[in-house]
Amino acid sequence: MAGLEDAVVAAAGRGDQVAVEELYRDLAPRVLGYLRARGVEDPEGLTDEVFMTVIPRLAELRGGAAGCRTLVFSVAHARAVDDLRRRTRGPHLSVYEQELDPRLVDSAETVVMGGVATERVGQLLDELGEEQRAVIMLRILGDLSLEQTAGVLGRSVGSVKQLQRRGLLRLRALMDDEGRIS
Amino acid sequence: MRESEARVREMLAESDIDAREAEPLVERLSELDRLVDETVREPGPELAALIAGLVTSAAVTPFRRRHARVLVAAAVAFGTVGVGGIAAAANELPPGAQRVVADFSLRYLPFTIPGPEAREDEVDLDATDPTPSPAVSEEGQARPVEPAETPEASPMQRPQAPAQTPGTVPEKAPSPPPAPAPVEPQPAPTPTAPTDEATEGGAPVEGSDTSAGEEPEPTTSPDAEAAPTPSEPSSSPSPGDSEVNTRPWDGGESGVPSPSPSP
Repeated sequence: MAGLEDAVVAAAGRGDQVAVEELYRDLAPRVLGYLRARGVEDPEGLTDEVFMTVIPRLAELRGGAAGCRTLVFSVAHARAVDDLRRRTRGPHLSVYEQELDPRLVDSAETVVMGGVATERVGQLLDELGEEQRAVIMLRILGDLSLEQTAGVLGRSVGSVKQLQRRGLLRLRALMDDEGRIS
Repeated sequence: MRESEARVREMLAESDIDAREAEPLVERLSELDRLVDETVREPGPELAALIAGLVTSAAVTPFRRRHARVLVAAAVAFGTVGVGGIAAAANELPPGAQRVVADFSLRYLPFTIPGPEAREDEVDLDATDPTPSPAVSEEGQARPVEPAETPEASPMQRPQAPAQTPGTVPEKAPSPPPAPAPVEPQPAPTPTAPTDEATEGGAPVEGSDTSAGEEPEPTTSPDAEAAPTPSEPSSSPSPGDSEVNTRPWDGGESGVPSPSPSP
């Protein structure tokens, strides 16, 4: 999965345009997927913001491809949290668009997510706490290791490992309940 | 095996959860991979410009850096204006700058800042003050002036002062009587003038010897030392004052002493 190489990151840090494009093509889909999974309002716009923040800082980057991935998802996570806080602070008003009304058609998110299966995952993850959800999403969608996830969240590896374990146990319990009901 | 499925199994292993018991969970979480759209979306115009290198990193510098720069620039600007304003208020800027600031304050500010002319005035006052004071001290004539008449007529005092001074001067004293006319051309030092003229009339030879170097006019020069003494008390004498001064001269008493100290 991790096609990003240290050499590419180093070249991008030196301002190599081709390397920067390669970095973007490698990481942008995952960043976009993570932001979608977090339910941000404008995942595409935020993805652009993430890379506009990261690219000027590539020259100062340490840690090669792993460091770059950590930095990118750190920024993405921070943007997602900011978006969530902004929306919880006050009601969000938007213009009504019939084609986006889920009562009439499938929501754009559902379509993009690939249908009902993905929607079910989303519903399952909604049962988790905020940090447990973030850990699982970062590890699967961001393809981050425990250490990288700890770096993104600003926590210790042990703490992240504990959050991951509790989250997985909770999900398994929820699925067991689903099985019994069905 | 999909990459996401491998990652989920790895996570289960790290959490000491048996993957065989959680097979449905593995399948469910692996579906998250569908959120990742493999077709790379084209970046927005700003990001595309950044990637293409059209926009320098300076233009995209983080807000904190730009904010810090703005703060530093504002601090420098305020500091410059503040220091400049204080210097202008103290009238210590170079004449050109002081004039510009004074004009600006006159036009746009609720208060006015003095122009360089004010500074020159101050300098003039200072220039006039020092000359008389030393003369007075040297000659010791000032003391006699005080007792003579305290309040107003400083010119009147001068003649008296010399009178009190030792009688070394008597030579010049007799000469003065007619002199007042030439005194008028000199506005400020008028008090001195009468003495000078008096000397001219009475003893031109002596005056030429002593004071030739001091003042532009050779005639007044001899009494240059004596001149300050009269000028000092009357800070702003007018031609009229000078005339007044001459009167005591006429009396003869005062005219005598003034020249005496100079030699």
